[in-house]
Amino acid sequence: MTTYLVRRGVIALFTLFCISFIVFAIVSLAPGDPIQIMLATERITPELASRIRTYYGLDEPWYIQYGIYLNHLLHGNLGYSLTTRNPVAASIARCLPNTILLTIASMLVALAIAIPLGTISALRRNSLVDYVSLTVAMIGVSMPNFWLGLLLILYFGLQLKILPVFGIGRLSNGLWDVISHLILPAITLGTSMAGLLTRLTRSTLLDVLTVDYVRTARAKGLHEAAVIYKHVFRNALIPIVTVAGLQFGALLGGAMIVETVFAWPGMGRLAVQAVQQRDYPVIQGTTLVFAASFMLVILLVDLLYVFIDPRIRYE
Amino acid sequence: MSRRRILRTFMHNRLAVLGLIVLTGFVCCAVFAQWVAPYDPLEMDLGNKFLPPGSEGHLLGTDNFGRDFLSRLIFGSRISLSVGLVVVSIAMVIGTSLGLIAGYFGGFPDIVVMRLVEIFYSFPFLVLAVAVMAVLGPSLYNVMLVLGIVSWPIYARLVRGQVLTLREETFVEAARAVGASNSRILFRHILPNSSSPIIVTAAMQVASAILSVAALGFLGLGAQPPTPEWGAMLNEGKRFMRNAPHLITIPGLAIMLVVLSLNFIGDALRDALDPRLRGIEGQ
Repeated sequence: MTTYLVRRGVIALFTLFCISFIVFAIVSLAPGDPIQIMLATERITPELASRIRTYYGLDEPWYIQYGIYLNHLLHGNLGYSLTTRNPVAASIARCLPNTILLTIASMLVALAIAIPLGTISALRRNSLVDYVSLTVAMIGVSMPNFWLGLLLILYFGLQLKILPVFGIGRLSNGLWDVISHLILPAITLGTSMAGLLTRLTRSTLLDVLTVDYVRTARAKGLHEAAVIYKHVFRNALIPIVTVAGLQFGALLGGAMIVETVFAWPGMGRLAVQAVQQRDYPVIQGTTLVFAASFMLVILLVDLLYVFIDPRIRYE
Repeated sequence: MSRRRILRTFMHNRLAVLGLIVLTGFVCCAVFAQWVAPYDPLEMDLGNKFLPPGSEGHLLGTDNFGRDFLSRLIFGSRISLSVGLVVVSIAMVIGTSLGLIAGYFGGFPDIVVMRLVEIFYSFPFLVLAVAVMAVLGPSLYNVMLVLGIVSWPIYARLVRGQVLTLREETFVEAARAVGASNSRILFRHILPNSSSPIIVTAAMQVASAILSVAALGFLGLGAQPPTPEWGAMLNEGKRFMRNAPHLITIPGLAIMLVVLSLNFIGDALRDALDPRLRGIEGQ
């Protein structure tokens, strides 16, 4: 287990290194340097300009610049926003918890829809219920999430006026304030994932339902609920957890859009605003943190296997 | 499997047939847009702004500049479908070539390609696309390029896997024994035999490419106004959604119908062409 962890850790570090290079390269290929971009919106003194030049090593060749970037990175310094001048790391630290809250809530929404629906579908295979839930799942996958978000705003926010449609709640206003702000974005973000996971739950359960130990369990007169719960479900969990983990990346990408629709003060909205303002250090920082958190989730999923399935040992 | 059998399996799936009909409708609109659309999609008529759907002369109403919404929708189908196809073509060509090389030659090329795949996979797809779009600047052309370049790994991994199994098959060995060159073996023997999963994946990927294009358009990073791209239309329309909800309901419905049709078709294609792929979607 320890050797496995170390190996995974080394690979993760290497990948992170490559990611940092790609993120650095993308922005280096951009036309214009930070000073020109800042000059477009405000006046900066020549002294400040030359200080920025030395800080980022803008007069040096690219590999020195990358070295400086890496050095800053290792000190937890993600640079400074070109528009607000604030440290990028601080902005991200402020937004990241909101994004985590939103993605976890969406994941829960997705699982709460997908697992019951997929299970019923598999148990009542080729019935009307199965047919309907598969079609609904497909619609969920095919719906653009920003559109679903707009429709929810239109109906629940503007027509019924029962749920807030902008921003995030404060815990100081009570728990309901937080939850009510969370409902619509979480449904919006969770829907496409729910569709995918419903289909997966169904097909995985169908596979497991036909294996020998399930037949044995039934043959020995075990209660159907116990068969499903103890034998089928636990074995079907691995593919579901895997895909849920892999889909976390899609969730993060979707968070950019959903956060923009609902003015949710998360990292996605930060990234989109930075892109619109060509605020390169913020783009670099958010992309890097997005990729790193995705990597972390994948790693966690791998470790989770050990708990789900005791047969798995990483030696 | 014989061609007729494949066709029969496909046609047996009623949803797929329905999808095919809907998609054909959109394709016809896209191809014959000039003749089908009642108005010029860019022609403004400021005296007739925000007409609701069903108004006289404007079946789907008009937008904030009095442009005929149906015409914009029809020209939008041209953009969405063609961009989706281009994106998938770019990704498929890059991914398939790299997958063939990695799988067939193994060794160093394999390591390099698979590392690249892993690194691309460690970025959330849309996040990477948005970051690159930020640098290249918003335009429809850049959208195609970026989405194409970002989405190749799925094909590389798929094709590599196919090659690894096919490489050991007897017919490949036979071809090698009679002195066939590497490129002949790759393109005449291995590639045709791995075409089914590639086609199935491509069909599904056109659907997700259309969604991504619309998402970028919606964020203002894709097609720029006044281009009648569906995502950009939603972005423009959202400011007026309170008084003119049809500006957001209709383009979204169009996106959903096209994507849904493609997904139904892809599903049925998979069942017809390659039943082994069943149940591994989303990986």
